[in-house]
Amino acid sequence: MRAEQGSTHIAATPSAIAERALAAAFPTVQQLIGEASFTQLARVFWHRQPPRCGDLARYGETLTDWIADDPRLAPEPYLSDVARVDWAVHTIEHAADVIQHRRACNCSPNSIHRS
Amino acid sequence: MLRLRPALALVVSRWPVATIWQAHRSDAADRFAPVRQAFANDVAETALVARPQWHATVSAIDEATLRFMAALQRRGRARPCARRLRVPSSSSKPGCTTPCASNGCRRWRRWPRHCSEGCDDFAGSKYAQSSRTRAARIEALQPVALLAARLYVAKVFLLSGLTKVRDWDTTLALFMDEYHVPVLPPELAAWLGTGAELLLPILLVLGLGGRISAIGLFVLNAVAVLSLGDVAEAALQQHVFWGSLLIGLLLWGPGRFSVDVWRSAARAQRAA
Repeated sequence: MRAEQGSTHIAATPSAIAERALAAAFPTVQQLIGEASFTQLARVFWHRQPPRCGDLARYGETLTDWIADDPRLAPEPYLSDVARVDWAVHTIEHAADVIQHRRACNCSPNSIHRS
Repeated sequence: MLRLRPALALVVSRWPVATIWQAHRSDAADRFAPVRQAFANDVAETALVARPQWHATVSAIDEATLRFMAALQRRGRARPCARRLRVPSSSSKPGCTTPCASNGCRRWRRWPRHCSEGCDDFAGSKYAQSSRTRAARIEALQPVALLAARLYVAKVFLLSGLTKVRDWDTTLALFMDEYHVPVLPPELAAWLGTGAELLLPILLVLGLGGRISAIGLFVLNAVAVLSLGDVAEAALQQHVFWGSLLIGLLLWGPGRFSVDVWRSAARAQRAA
């Protein structure tokens, strides 16, 4: 009984991981096509283009082209562009902080507090 | 999709992508009304994705701003672009600029260099490529410089060896009285030193056993300094210079123009 549960859990894991990773990166796409369709999309995408890097936050960049090429999603041609926006937001949220050049930008932290 | 990584991206689309994205983040009752309206008017939008504060924001930008950013992408200068659009600019150097994130600051700041680290897109971008090709062009001179170093150092030592051979009696006398070579008896030292000064430069010029001849000459050079006792400062500087060149040849090898490389290439060809 337990072993059976364990094996089903493992079998379900890749697609669950795929869905969670891709849903984190493409929330708008998920809302647009619905959770059920998104699960299916994530599963197929995971099998066809598995992640090459252990960091799942970097997984999914090619999903935008995948969506553009998928004939089943052709009725919503804006989807791949929305996916691009989602991906840009996702990567930018994780991008390294930009160190500000004080000299180039004449505002010290103090002056911000005062204003 | 234009990219100004890491904290700025432009998504050019023929659909109202920014409006769609914003509607899905909104809590308003009729949040999809703007989307419907945009679709009815067949609006095409360019979404600017940026992270001015803590979270990323998505906003639609107009044609002029897009053109300004595209000009920056093409490595144009910020000031002429800005003048055309009447945006304040503090940077006249080429490179990416981005609006200053601080409250109330309307200036533009340079894209910092560290952006390129860990950023996959930067590695493939044309900025990275152009700096790579520049570096490659400079590095193409490496074999030439290594050959020049070999020729120069070899000439110095070969001439010294030839002088010793030309008047062997004087050489022996110098090794007896003037040069105090440590450990070795004077006559053996004279033979070894002269032999090395004649043989190693020829090997170095040919690039045959280039590293071995480089370290051999380096040791010879060092022993010469030790044996002389009191060396004039100018002469010592020359010895240091030759030693540095030889260390360089030892570390980097004789370069492409050498028998060593030619032989290993021939061997690889035979193996293939």
